[in-house]
Amino acid sequence: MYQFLLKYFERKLANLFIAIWYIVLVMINLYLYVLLIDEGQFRYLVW
Amino acid sequence: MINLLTVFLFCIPIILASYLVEKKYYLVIQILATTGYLGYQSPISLIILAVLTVGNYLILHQNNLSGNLKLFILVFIVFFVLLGFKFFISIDKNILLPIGISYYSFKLIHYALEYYKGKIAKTTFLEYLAYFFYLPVILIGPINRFNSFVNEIGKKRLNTDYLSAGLERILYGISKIQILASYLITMKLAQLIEILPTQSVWLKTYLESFKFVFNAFFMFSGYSDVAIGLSLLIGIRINENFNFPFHSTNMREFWSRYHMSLSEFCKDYIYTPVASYFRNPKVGILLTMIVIAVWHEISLRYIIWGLLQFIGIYFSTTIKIGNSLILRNFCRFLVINFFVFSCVVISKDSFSETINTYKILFFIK
Repeated sequence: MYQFLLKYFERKLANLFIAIWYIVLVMINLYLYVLLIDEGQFRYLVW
Repeated sequence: MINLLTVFLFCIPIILASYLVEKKYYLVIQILATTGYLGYQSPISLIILAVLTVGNYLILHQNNLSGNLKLFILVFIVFFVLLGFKFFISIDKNILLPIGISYYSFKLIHYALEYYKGKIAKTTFLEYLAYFFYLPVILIGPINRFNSFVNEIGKKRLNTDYLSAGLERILYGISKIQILASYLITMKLAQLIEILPTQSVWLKTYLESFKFVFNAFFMFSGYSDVAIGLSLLIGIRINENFNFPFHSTNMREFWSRYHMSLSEFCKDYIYTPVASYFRNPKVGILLTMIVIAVWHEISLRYIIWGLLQFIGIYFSTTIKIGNSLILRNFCRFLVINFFVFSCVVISKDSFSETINTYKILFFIK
């Protein structure tokens, strides 16, 4: 994804975008972790 | 239930050791951390895997037995253990499988066969143990190969590219598990199916089948990403497991991009020998798909699923499509739907349910 951003933006802007993207993903994951545990839906695949 | 947080916790000493100490001590710490994890999660799994690993080594390095006999004993023991567990779990769903036994068995067979062929480089017992007790891949693969693992350990060093790629991969893996599989598919799609009007039976059934396949795919693909990411943090590159399988234009291509470590294993150890023995690639494909099916579970429904995959691959080898973009996209649509429809067999508990679902999907009264 970083390589993709570098194609269209200069390095500083690409760094900023990728940092924001990672922060958003982490926040969504943390939110869902709490939400899904509360809902009793959080489950993992065991093979 | 296995929690990823516990895996991460036990991986911390491995990651630190990979940068801070010599290879010999790193291997010891890696083995101890994996043993600790297995002992914490399931002591019985630890005992079974340890006995299999040490037994495998002792038999292979036994000088009194001939190579053929060693191989026969090993493959027999591994198959016996794996098939035994798979058989009992197909009878009673409450039986717990030892952690990672399905992948572990393949790794044992891989090591034994390569050793028999003389392709295993001179190795120490510590390296051997480290290959089998490698925490990132022990739960759900990918099935990594021994020689590449030993090579990677040899050149392992602090690598910032691996570090950032690993963190990114773990984030994407967890996102696939949580956002796509657990939230959007398991929760939201299920809610959408529930609120659909009762007349739209076809759409409901189709979405149910779609949900089953894509939930399993994103879960599995997410776990593989986490395993590959953790491995990169340690400084070891392992093989990929998925390469956009739903972009495939035929079922043959699909199976070379879906669960790649398993299909490559089966290609090397089942397809190639069987196809060259019978001088017929179709027999090789048939047996490979049956083995993949039985590996999942020993039951009639999985065997039928394997046969359906064989039919899909068989047709894709006989039909040639051109380079037209529309045709290629149409074929992608067919591949997705063929796989979704074929997985109906394994998603239902009884044959009457499966038949009813197919009747609805194919508009049969």
